[in-house]
Amino acid sequence: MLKAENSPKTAIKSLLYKESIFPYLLIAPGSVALLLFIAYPMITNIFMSFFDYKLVQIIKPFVFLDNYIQVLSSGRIWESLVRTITWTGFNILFMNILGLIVAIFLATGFRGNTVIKATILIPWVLPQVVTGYTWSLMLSQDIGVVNHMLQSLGIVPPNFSWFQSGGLAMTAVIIANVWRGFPFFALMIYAKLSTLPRDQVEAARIDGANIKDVFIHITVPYIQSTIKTCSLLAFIWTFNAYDILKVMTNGGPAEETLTLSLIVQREAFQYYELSRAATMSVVMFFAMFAILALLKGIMDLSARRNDR
Amino acid sequence: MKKNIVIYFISAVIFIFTFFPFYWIIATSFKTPIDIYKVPPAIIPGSITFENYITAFTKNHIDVFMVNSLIVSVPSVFLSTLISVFGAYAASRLAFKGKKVFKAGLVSTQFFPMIVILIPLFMLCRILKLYNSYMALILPYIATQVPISILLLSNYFADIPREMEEAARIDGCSRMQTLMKVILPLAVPGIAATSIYSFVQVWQEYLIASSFISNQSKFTLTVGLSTFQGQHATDWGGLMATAVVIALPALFLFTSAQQYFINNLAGGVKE
Repeated sequence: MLKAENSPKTAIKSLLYKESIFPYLLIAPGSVALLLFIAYPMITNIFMSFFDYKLVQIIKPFVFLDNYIQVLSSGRIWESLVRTITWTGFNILFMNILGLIVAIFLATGFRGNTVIKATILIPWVLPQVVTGYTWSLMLSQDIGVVNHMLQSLGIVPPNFSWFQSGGLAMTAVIIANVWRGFPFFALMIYAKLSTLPRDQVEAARIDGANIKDVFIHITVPYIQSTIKTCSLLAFIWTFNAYDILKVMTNGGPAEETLTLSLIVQREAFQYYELSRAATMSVVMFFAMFAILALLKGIMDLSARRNDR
Repeated sequence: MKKNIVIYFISAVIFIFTFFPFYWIIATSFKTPIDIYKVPPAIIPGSITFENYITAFTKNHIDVFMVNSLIVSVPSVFLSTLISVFGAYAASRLAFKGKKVFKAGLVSTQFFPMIVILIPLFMLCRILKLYNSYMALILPYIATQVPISILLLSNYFADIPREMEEAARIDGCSRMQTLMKVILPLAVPGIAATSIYSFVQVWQEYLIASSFISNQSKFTLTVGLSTFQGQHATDWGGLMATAVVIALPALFLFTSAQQYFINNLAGGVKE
């Protein structure tokens, strides 16, 4: 009797805490969440791009590559891809430049650099939507404070508007996004710079190297890996950025700042062209990895050339 | 001497570039409409008013958006952190088949654009009748926060000495007891930092929140900002007052836990 009562309990217990099954129990909830809400939608997305999904119709015919032919043969996605690349490229370039300047500056250890170090990441934490609205206000044509300053300094003509041409609108959002992103670069590069071995620099100086030589031959190679990591992260964030563009330009004027993220969201939630949107997002996904692979190839190639 | 002046000049420029927008958000939120629409813009407000905050709460009902944001954020953060604690412990401390695949899967999610899963998630929401409900946001938020939380937490667990665990096992604790009674108490700072990171992410999320909710009474704060934009004019005072309300908790929480995750964040993705 006693045995019968106890055995199921101990059986469950030993099953639960057996070495082999315990780890799987721990990762089960996380794995389920990932499979259900990330992996399954990913696969469904590709699946949808081969069908003609419409919200209103029940039959969803298999159209194979028709969606791709339609999407890729219209100029809209290519223009959007070029815009996305321009947007990403300039963002990363200026985040690096500004980040590097601030990092070097922090590394000089001037008085007050602890204050800047502690607070510089604040723009990075400000919600993207808030950043977008704030820069929209500061750059607005009539009451924008930054716009007014630029006018009184003679940098831009009177009645200047950032949001009437595509190029300028893109520049405005890039300014806002660089403001948001450069502190991350500055802090990461500074962290790496502060571990730069002093004796190496001193030895080079004794051997007659000037500051410029030290910078190019010691500092740059030393921080290269950090710059690569930061740029990779920024690439992913910027290529997929949505909030700040949506709030500041909503893709306008005349779709001239409509990047791939915005075009997919618009097709899906404004026009309800779900299959076309899914197809575009698949294209976007592969474009992103193709660019990353290309960049990696170029970097490997140049690294090999440098080794020679 | 000359060098000092240059350094002070550069630091002043960096400082102004970095912090002026914050000043402008706060200043605008306390300005009267006359000051807001003054040309040239008034750098220092002529008079200070709380009117923008009052209209934001009474006319645009940002209190409703605030409650919605909390209803969505708190369970998302709680559940994703809870799930992640177990996953992270297994990923950092236990040996099991498929561990490499599990970890690679986590890292790879960090490269996936949200937009690629947005449309199927929307379809899923419609099938499960979740469109326009809090669950439509909570479930995707949990799923997006779990991978990064596991990666962050794994780093904290890795820092806890193995001897503590072994001692507990020798004293007769089961694996589960060891985790609950020895590891978790030691990992509290890491768990706190991770949940803060998740909270900041979820609190400011916009893409899913603006796509899956169309009913204004269910808007979260970030989506609610759009209610200040009229057909012809924008109520910048009210908008910036709301911006302060959104940004304050995020900034406060983030700066309080900043040192815990900057390096882990980059490290987690780099590996």
